[in-house]
Amino acid sequence: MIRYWLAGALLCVVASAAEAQPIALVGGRVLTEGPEGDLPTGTVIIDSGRIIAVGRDVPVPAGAKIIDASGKIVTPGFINAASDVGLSDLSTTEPGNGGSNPAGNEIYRAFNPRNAMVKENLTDGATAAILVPYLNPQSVAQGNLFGGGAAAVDMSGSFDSLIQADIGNIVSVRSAAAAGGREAFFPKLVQQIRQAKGTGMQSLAKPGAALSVPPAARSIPGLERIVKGEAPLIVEVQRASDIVQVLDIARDEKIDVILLGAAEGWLVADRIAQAGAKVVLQPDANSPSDFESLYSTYQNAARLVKAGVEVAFIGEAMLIPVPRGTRSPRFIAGRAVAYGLDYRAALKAITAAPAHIYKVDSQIGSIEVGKRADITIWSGDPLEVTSFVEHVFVKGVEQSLDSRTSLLRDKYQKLLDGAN
Amino acid sequence: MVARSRGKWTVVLACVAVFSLSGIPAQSASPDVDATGNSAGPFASTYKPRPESVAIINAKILTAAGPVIENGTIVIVGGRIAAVGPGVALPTGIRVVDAKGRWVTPGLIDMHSHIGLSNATGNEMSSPISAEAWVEHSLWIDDPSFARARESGITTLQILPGSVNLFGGRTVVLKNVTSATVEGMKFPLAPQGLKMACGENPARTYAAKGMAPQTPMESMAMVRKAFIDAARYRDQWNTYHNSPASRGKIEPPVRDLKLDTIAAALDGKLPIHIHCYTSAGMMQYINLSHEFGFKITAFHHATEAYRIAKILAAERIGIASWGAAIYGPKQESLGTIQENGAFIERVGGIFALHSDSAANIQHLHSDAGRLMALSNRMNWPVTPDRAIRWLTINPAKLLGVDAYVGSLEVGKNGDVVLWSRDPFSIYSVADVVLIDGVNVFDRSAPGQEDSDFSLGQYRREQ
Repeated sequence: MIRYWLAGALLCVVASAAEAQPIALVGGRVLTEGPEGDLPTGTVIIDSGRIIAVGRDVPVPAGAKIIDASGKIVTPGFINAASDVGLSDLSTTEPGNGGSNPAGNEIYRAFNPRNAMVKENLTDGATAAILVPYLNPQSVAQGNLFGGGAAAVDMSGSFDSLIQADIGNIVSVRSAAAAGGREAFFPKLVQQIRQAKGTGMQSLAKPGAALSVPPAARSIPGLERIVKGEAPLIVEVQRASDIVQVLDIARDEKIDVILLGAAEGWLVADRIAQAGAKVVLQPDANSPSDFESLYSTYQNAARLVKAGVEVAFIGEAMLIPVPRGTRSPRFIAGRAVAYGLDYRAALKAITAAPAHIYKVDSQIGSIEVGKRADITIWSGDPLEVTSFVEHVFVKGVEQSLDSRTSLLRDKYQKLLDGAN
Repeated sequence: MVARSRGKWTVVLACVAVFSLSGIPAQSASPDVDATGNSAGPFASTYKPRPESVAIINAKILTAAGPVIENGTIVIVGGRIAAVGPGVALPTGIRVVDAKGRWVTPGLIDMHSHIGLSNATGNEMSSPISAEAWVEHSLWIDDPSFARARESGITTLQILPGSVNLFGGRTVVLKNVTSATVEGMKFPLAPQGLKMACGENPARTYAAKGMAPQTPMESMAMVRKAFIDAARYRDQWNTYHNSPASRGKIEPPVRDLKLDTIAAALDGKLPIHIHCYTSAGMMQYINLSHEFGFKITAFHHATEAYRIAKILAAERIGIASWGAAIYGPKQESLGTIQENGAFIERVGGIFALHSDSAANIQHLHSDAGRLMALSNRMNWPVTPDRAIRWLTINPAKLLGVDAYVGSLEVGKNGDVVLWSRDPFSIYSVADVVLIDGVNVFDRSAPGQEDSDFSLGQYRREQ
């Protein structure tokens, strides 16, 4: 009997979540990160999962559910620009997921939206993550130059959380160097790009050189969008001299590149800016972990931004020194501000910039009419430690802030306070 | 013959201990350990502070020993704190730093760091019991992360061996100064510690090598056996030492470096620091400590401490953990909650914020701010004068250096940080860092006191 009642109640909750009642977020300070700029007091109207209006004096539709955001800050949901969230529950015993992916694989197929870290992102204001496959040296040594397709996913926990797949493929200079040397890697990269284009090796050969050119026998599925200019090639690279090589190849082959990591990017900031390459980095990666990143500094992001480079931030990592993060990027952005980055640039690096860099900005990254209603309402400055998420919406649906960790906290607080 | 000469050396060292200590048993099972750690042993500290004098005025002072002092002055004479308070007269001619209302705290102390180590140098993976190893002998003093930590207000830190071994070896406490030698960084009079590890790491590491232990149950059996061996070893030395009439006539026990360390820990001469995540694991090590009669100084990481907070407080065991702790990605850390430290504070336990990483060590101050905010949200109010203790006097107590550092009190070392703003804010950075009154970092003139390794290949122009 009780079981039936519960099932009924659950159905009602699901039904109301899917219901197309408009929602109005009223009275908050809205940092749209879009064309509307900052609204000291603004209104956002959500309907059927999308933002249908945003502005200072927007009328609230009749019958809308009103959420009072006065005294609060409203932002687009934050985006972790290179994440491994939801790919593995225990990294110590499940190293495979997200690891050895030949080029045609799609990382989102390994994503578990019910992984507990997904909810931890959501409750810290991150509503989306860019899943970027790992590409370890062993995989490269086995002949996998490319690591597979990246994807944008949301943090709703839904089994329909894919925002967009095949948004870029990855190569890793570091892993390739460890697997066989850079000098072998760069020509091989060019060769594979040209194979994907169907142009073979002809133009790589210097005049008179007698290279035997295989026909473009094998197209690499994940590369199709890259060679058409629809998606970027994501290049995991730290050392400045490697970045220069990558920029040259990108120019010659006319492909878009994202430099992932780019700890020494500031040394060649002007070249990166001139090439129009984008950078996805860890702003706090200021301690060299090896000889690939000797010139690491907290000033990296600020210097790149100053040179005109579009920069997005990787969320906090879990003690793993690779350019992927598992957590919300909010505090990492705050720390970048502490070390001299402009506040607006920091906010952009976790909202509009990652959306634009991965070409998913028609969907996410700003509070803008027509985009997905992925929005967070904060108790205060979203980058500051004293602030908390008060409401979070994904595709226009308000999400519960209860998580496994918050329920554990509540259980043991009750036990302790009750005992006192 | 060899044993005889070892025995003589032992007696000599024990005599030094008699003269250098009071109230401490002179005789130790471990010839290179006394309660002052390195004063009598080999590889002793050679750190000598320059006798600097300086005064900071117009500061908002968190002393870690009492309430906030508004508009306060701190005077350091000859490297030691000479006065702290609201109405302090300045000695004539002293160098004066005007804080202009900014916050001043004691130098921060991180009791869990691996700076100067790599996985290749910090984990001796040939045996799960490497109690004989001293982490200082693996230390790379030119690691640039020491400078990054210093620039973030860290003036004292404990470096520990990694956690793959049941007994990892001896820890070392450092003054975060530049030196061409490890001995030149060692904190004078600070005891070494013993690093132990429970849980997944030892079992996983040695299972992969086909060695023991492969399970936590065998881990505990091996630890108990080691303590049994150490107790017997200690008793043999005590019998030898307690027979003065026969000394020289009977052979001293053969020295065993593994058992030296474990026996010293058993006797309370080396603080015991245990890497342990789960409440079940911690409880078993508490029971182990009762079985063998030793004192656990602190559990490190301890992400499930909140589940047994009252027991830990009653045992007076410190908890060193993260501020906004990291959920997963190990089975044993799936019980992590961010508010862990708030529970320890709530029950009157000793909580210390630790870093465990070269990145985290640079924001312990705002991690404390986050934990304070998390606790306040639970209606367990924590004020800044309490929260600062997580970063200062609490780790100082757990490292056994609270007589020298950890609070701004007269007579203590002049280890002081001047912050750009409220140190608990994410936007706060250390503007000036003093160690024994010496200006080791000044954000307005960066670059000084950097690692030699960084010279010429790392430019910090702002």
